[in-house]
Amino acid sequence: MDVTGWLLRRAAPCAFVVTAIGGTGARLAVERAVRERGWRQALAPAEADLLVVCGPADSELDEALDRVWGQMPGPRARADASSPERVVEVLDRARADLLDAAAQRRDADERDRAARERAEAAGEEHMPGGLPMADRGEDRDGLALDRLHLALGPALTDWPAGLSLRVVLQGDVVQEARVHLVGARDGPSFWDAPRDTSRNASPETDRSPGHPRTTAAAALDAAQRLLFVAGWPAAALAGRRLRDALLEPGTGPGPDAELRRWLRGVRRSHLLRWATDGLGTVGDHAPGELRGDATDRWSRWLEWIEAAVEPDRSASEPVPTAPDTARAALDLVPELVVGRELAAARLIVASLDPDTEAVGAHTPERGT
Amino acid sequence: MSGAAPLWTALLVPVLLLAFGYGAAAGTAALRARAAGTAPEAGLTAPARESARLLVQRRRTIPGADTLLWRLGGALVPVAAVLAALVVPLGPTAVSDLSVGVVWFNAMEVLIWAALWMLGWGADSAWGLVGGYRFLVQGLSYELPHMFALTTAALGAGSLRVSDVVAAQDQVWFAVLMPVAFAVYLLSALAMAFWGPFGTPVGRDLAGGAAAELSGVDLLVLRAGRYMFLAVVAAMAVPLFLGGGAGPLLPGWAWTLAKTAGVVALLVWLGHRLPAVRMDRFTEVAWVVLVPLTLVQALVVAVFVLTR
Repeated sequence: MDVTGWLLRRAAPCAFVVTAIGGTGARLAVERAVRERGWRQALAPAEADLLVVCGPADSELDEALDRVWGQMPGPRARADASSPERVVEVLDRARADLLDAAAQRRDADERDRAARERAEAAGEEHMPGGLPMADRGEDRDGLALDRLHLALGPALTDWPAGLSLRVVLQGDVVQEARVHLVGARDGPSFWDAPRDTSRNASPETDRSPGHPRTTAAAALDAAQRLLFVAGWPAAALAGRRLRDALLEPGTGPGPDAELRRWLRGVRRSHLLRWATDGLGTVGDHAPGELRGDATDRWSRWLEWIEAAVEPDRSASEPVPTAPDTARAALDLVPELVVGRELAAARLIVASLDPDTEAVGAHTPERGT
Repeated sequence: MSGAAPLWTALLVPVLLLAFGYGAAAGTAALRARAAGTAPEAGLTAPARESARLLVQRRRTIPGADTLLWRLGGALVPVAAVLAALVVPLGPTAVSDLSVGVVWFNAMEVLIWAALWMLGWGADSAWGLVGGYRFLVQGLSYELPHMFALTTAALGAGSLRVSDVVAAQDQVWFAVLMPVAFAVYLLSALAMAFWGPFGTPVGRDLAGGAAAELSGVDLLVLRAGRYMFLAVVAAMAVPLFLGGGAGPLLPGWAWTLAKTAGVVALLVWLGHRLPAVRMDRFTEVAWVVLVPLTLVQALVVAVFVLTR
């Protein structure tokens, strides 16, 4: 009896999703498919068996993807979702690859042989595992602590597409931070791009840019990312579901009642406010959408979402204007995260949520 | 009311813990499935399907890892859960009714500190290291209030023997007599199982934190161990605060199981409803608010015991 095959067929795949700049549409389709099939999304490559790449190929991103691929223990399969339309097809094929036990065994043997050869070639090693040791430096309390170099992104869950934040950590405190964009390209942001409006768009079915429902879906997308980072998967998953429902063309009444309930639940969470209050405070020099602390920023998203379900109440704030805000957000990241713990730094980035597709080929220079 | 069971009952302990742990995992998955808009029934089989996946997945070797500590750390979690459960009575009998049962429980549950630190440190990964740091801060925050809560229950009974604590609740449950201690115990239950709002040591923002580099059966052991731990802390709340096996009609063991299931369900529901607690902020609350509160609770109970 083939136990491996039997177990493989029962297992629900666990996908590690990496989004390239320009891959937001594909990511939305992948997240939706994964959610509806009851698959899981991996937090790290080590637990994943499916690598899903959303968006166009890019040579620098490929280097990161190769490392991710090497960290996946196997059985493993890769799905390149270059466009939203192909998502179902590539996921099905990747699932079939996972179930092909013979091919998976060949892959495993191949890797074992390569690892043995590398180990023999390395010969005598002076460092543990042949790796360089961390150097030391004074931290904020004057203690000599190891300085760890860590790249946050581009292959990180609930993280802006293509963003790579190179940080130096001591303990879990960020000492230095530099922003780099992987695969930056000119082109409209997914949320600003014109949609297919060939079927005569009525107010209910219109999902073109600037429409309250599109703005609300974009805000919901940002909010679900923040909620995942804030450690509230239940609210984040519900946010994803509502986002997908808003983007569905012409679903009649839509998810308005549920959206109101979700808004109430998130707004009322004292614990969430407590986690984000006072984080990443931005002064009046910044674009309006970014001002205040993290709590102010996600509260603003909730208002935009509410504007979609309460048409009478026009949003008090302006709707997001892409390129300038995105650039300002990116430039703000390094100075705001330095001196904070990793948990706070991730919440700050999630609350600024720079739309890396909107900045074009702009490359931020500044760093601290 | 007391008594040590025959030795073979020790084999029953991991089975019961696994059953309750599976229930907690399945309940969590079902609530998640409902939030995601899919059929909640699928959640009931989700932990089994995930286990099947992890059983097939290969283990990883990491260059530069302290493999012994790394593997030991994960394996220690279910072992600590089973050891802690030895003093938890099912109805009137526990596997071992030690004269210092409360202290034994506390000592076994502190093993988690070592387990998570070894797990985070051993993997030679920045994510793991930060996850390990986080749990140490978490431990420093919850452990003192938690120990005062345990002390208060022992104080109310005038004994560290778990069966004496149950016997002392003849008239009134300790959950009623010392509500603050009970609430703090439930809070620290979530924290020591690094689960739900206290799950940041293996959190999503750290790409899995202390568990970031685990795969396959190692990850399965850690996850199962964590749910077993959640189950054992819930089970211990029953003799400490909820009158043990006391109840009408049903036999003692049935009441113990029913109350344990109730506490597990409460913890699962809390984990579903609450976002993560940021540890750097919680530490202040733990030391400035919870420690004095539990001390005052202990004082009130002490006065009550003296004047009774």
